[in-house]
This record gives sequence, C-alpha cells and structure tokens, in this order.
Amino acid sequence: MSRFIIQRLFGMLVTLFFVSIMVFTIMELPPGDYADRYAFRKYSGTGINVTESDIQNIRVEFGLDRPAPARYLSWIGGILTDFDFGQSFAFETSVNRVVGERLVLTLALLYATLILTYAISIPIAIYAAVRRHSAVDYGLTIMSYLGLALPNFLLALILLYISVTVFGSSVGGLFSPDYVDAPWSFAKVGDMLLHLIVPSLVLAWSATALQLQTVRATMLDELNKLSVTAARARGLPEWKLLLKYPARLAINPVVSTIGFDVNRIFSELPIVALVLSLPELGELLIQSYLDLDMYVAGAILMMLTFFIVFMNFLSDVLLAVLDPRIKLEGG
Amino acid sequence: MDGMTPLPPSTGQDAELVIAVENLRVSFRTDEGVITPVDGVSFSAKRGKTLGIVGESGSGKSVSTRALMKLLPRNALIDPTSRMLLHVGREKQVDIAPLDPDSKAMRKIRGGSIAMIFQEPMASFSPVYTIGNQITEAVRLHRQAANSPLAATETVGEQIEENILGHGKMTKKQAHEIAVEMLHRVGMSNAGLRVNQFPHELSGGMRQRAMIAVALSTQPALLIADEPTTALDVTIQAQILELMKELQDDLGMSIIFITHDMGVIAQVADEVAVMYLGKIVERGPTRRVIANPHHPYTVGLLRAIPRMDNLTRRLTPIPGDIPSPLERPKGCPFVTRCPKRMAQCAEVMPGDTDMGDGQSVACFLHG
Repeated sequence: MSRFIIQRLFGMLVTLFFVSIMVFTIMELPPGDYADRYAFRKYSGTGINVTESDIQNIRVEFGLDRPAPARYLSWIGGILTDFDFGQSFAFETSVNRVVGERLVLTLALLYATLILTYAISIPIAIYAAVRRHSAVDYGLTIMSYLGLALPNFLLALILLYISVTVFGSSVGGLFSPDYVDAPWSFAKVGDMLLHLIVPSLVLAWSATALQLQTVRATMLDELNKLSVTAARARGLPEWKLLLKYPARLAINPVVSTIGFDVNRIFSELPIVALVLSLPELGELLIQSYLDLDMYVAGAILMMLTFFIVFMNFLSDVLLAVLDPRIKLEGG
Repeated sequence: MDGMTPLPPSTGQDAELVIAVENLRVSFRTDEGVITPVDGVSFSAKRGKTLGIVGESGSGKSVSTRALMKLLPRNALIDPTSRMLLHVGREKQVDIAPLDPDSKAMRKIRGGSIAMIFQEPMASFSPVYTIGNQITEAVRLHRQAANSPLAATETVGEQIEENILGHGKMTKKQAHEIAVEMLHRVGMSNAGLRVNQFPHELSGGMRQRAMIAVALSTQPALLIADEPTTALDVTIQAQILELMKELQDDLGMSIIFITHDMGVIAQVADEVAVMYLGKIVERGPTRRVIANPHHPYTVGLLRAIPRMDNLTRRLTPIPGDIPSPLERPKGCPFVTRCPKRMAQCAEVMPGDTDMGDGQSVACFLHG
C-alpha cells in the first residue's frame, strides 16, 4: 500500500512539473507583454511620448527582459522555496495577496459542492436502487434528467431570485453587506457558509444528477450479485448486508471520478460566479488575462491544476483502499 | 392437492427428519402473467443423509430450495397451503412457509440451521473482503462463545435450537480461530495464511472449499448445495464431492444436493427426487431409481449420461426443450416430450404410484 502511494505521489509530482511548464508557456503566449500595457496605462492621456527605450526600461525594471527559461526558473523557484507566486503588475502588490482570499473562497466552494454532491446523491441513489420501481425511484429519475438538462446559469438565476424574494438574503456575493469589510470572525464564517449554499447547490446540481444515475445503476448491478445472495443466506440483517456488500462497491465509480468532478466544478465556476457575483479565482483569471497580468494568471492556473491533480491522487488512493483488487494491478 | 400423496404425517414424526416440505407451491408475478415454477412439491431430508434433486434448468429445483431459505425475489409468492417444517429438537417444529423473509427468526434459520453453497464459487464471495472476513461474519452471527467448532456430539435438534435461540456473541478473535480451523478442515493448506487472502487469490477449487467452510462454520443441520460442482474441473469436482461426504460423516448434517447431472447424483445421494417443470415425477432410494427407473423422463436422463464402459453406445438426448412455465401442459408436465405418451396424459396429472422399497412414480404407465 505504501509503495502504491509513493508511486502515485511521484506520478503527481511529474505531472505538476509538466503542468508548470505548460502554464508558463501559456503565460508567454499573448502578444505583447506587461511592459507595453503598463506604459499605455501609465502615460496614455498625459501627453508624454513614450519611446521604445522607455518601454525597454520598464521591461528591465520588471525583469521581463531576461530569457524565458531563466524567468521560468526564478518563478518556479520562488513558488517552491517561499511559496511566492511573484508580483501582480495590475494590482501592484504580491500575487499571494491578490489571490489569497479568493483561493480560500474558491476552495470553500469546491469542497462545499463536493460534499453536497456526494451527501445527496449516494444515499438517495442507494435507496432508489434498493426500492426499485417505487415512487422514490421514478421521482428520482425525473429529477435527475431535469438536473442534467437545466443549464447552470439558469438555475443560478432562479435560485438567486428565490433566495432574494423569499428569504430576503442579499443579492449575490459571498457576504452580507455588513460583513464584507469586517475582520474574520465566527459570525462572518457563518454568514459566508449561508452565502455558499446557493452557489454550491448550483454547482452540485448536474453532478448530483449524474452521480445519482451512476450509483443507482452500479447498485442495481451489485444487488443482483451472487455474493449478495450468499451473504443473505448467511443470515445477515438486510441493512447491514446492503451497506457491507453492494453499497461499498456502488461508490467505487463515484470515488474514481472525484478528479473529474473537481475539474468540472472549476470549469463551471466562472460562469456561476459571474451570475452570482462571487469573488473567486475563475473570474480573476479572466481579468488577469485581459490585463496581461501574467503572474496572477499563472498562479491561478497552477493552483487550480494542483487541486485537480491532488484530488485525482486522493481518488486513486481511496479507490485502492476500497477495492483490494486494484493493488495487484497497480503494483 | 394435484394427485401427489403427502409424506408420512408429521405428527408421528421421525426424529431423524431435519426438514419436511409438504405441497410446496411457489408462484411469480411476471409481466406475462403468473407462473408457477414449483407446483405442489413434497420432499424431506434426514440427518446424515443426502437428498439429490435432479432436473434440467427450469425444472424448479433451485426455486424450491431457495424457498426454504426465503431467498426468493420480491415478486414470488409461496402458496399459503405450503408447509416447510424445520424440526427443532425432538418435539418442536417450525414452519418456515409463513415466516417473513426479513424477520429475525428467518435470519437465524438462514445460515444458522440451513446453510447454502452455490454453483459459482468466485461469484459467491464478495471480492473486496477476505475469505476470513466472510467466514467470521457467519460464525459471529450464529455461534455462541462457548462452543467448540467441530463438536458434533449434540443432537441435530439441540444444534438447531441453539442456533435459533442462541445469544452471547463470539469475539472476533474466537471467530477468526474457527475460520482458520474450518479452512483447515476443508483441506486447505496454509489455512492461517489463506484466511487473510482475497477470493481472487484462490483457485476455483479452493474457493469452493472456502465456500463450504463458510457454510459449515455455523454447524447447520441442513446444507443446501445448489450445483456446487458444475463450474469445476472434473478432477476438482471429485475432490469436492469426496470432501462433502467426509464432512457429512463427521458433522452429521443433512444435505440437499441439486444438480442436473445424474452421474453426480449416483455418487452422492442416498435418495433422489427427479423434478420436471415444477413437479417431482419420480423419487426413491438412489440405487433403486438408477437401476430401475420407471418414469420416461428418468429413463431419458439416465440414457443421456456418457458411460466409459460402453463406448459404442450413442448418447440418446431427450428430444425437445422444457416448455416455458407459461405454457405448462394441463396434464402430465412431460407430455410434450414423452416417447410413451397416451391420450389421458395431456388431460390429467397422474398421481404417485408406490413401486415398493420407497420408490414412487407419477406416470400412467405404472398406475
């Protein structure tokens, strides 16, 4: 088992190394660089004529004149040694400060969404499979098709409308107006959790619909296995039997797709965040590209891919724990 | 009910009797209508003896034994006139037929008094738990702390009683010891190592041995073996049959052995019941039935066995297929394929005719 974990951990590091090179390449791709943009922003409308050498000076000042491999090394070196993602040009402060709070909020949304998805889909799907052809089962099927068909942003708008008109909560954002600039406290965290409900519901919606179908189908397969009949023939109480045998295997497909879910959540987050005006990373990523604020963009891309790769690693390990047959093949 | 003579009345009961099934009728509600795969069947199993039930797929042999353990699907209905008497001690009997499949009493019987092994040893084990885990589960559900695992000194009745009333759970460690001992008992080398292995780490024959260990670890009074050797190689098959016989001699349980193979029946069964389309068409001591079959279906089954001592003889298959339960003939179930059918066969179900020495047959040729 420990060998398996070390192997996967090593694989994760290799993946992250290649990802970092790709991210850096992407950072380099847009035409022009921040020196151009800086000069334009600083001097446009002032009447001062900016020459090519002025821009070159700005470039030297920001360290943008050095060759790409050197800049990559100092960038990745800073991240690894000091957890320093460099400077944000647009905000004129460190990337860590720009990204920091948004990262916390993004992760809070990510985990709230994952927990919500699994907490809803797994028990209900297992129940529906056991009570096949019952009202719950049919109701569930209808709900989950609806879930797959309804676009996220539409659902976000509907929920937003309901939460404002019925529950009188503030429109969008992660905090009530009273707490936006307040220092962190339990009350503020509570306020944030309250505001997390709508966005995580929206993000969990389609994943829940999908997982409901997957778990239900796997559970139905497992229920018909001879090993379940054999366990029943041993006189095991029904609910214990269901949890020990079919349910344990029915969550395998869920566990193995945690990484996909994380990926999907990160992809859908910017649209939902836009509708609900949430200060999260996706929106900042788009903004940083518009500003050519490449270190911010790079930091966000690295962080998002790190969590996708990490959650994939976690799902591999969990799967190996759940199913002893995997270790043999994984070596 | 439909011409079958019931077994000797259970009031003057034989102490050796472990289970007596009387007039069992099982129906399924399906989309095409109600089908009755088991239609008024009576059989009994005695301590230390093996009853073989033989028949083709669809004859109802598996359904009737699964009814004994209440392992039928939800759409199944056991006719209220059916009786399945499990003998508990000398005086007491429990009728399984009216018990709720999810009731505590039924769970105690399942695995405790009646254990079952299945055709596919791989599929009978969950792949994600060790062999030991699945044996100790059974042991801890049904065995009390004080028992020595293989002490077969008590009477079957006391064993059943204990299994039904038993309380005082065993520790995991004690159960684990019993698991190792059972694996050793069914002929596994390195039982202490095997107990912690997963099913996919064992060979087919080893898995079936392990399955037998699970079933017998609770000291059941009755073991139902549902084609336990069909999926195994012939040499392994012989080993498993030998093992079951040995364990029966030691532990004294009764076995109901289901198979479609008359050759296997000849080796293991003391008595045989031949089933066709939900009815028992012939029954009796195995030797007598094989030496002197009366029902045309039994004759056909015996002709379909390959024999080493007469290689020039061609095998004679029984023509046609077993009809679907939806198209059950009105009279004798075998009428559609019988080489000796008569006019009355299609109209009336023949009653049982006693052929002497415990052999009886339901056929107009003999009554």
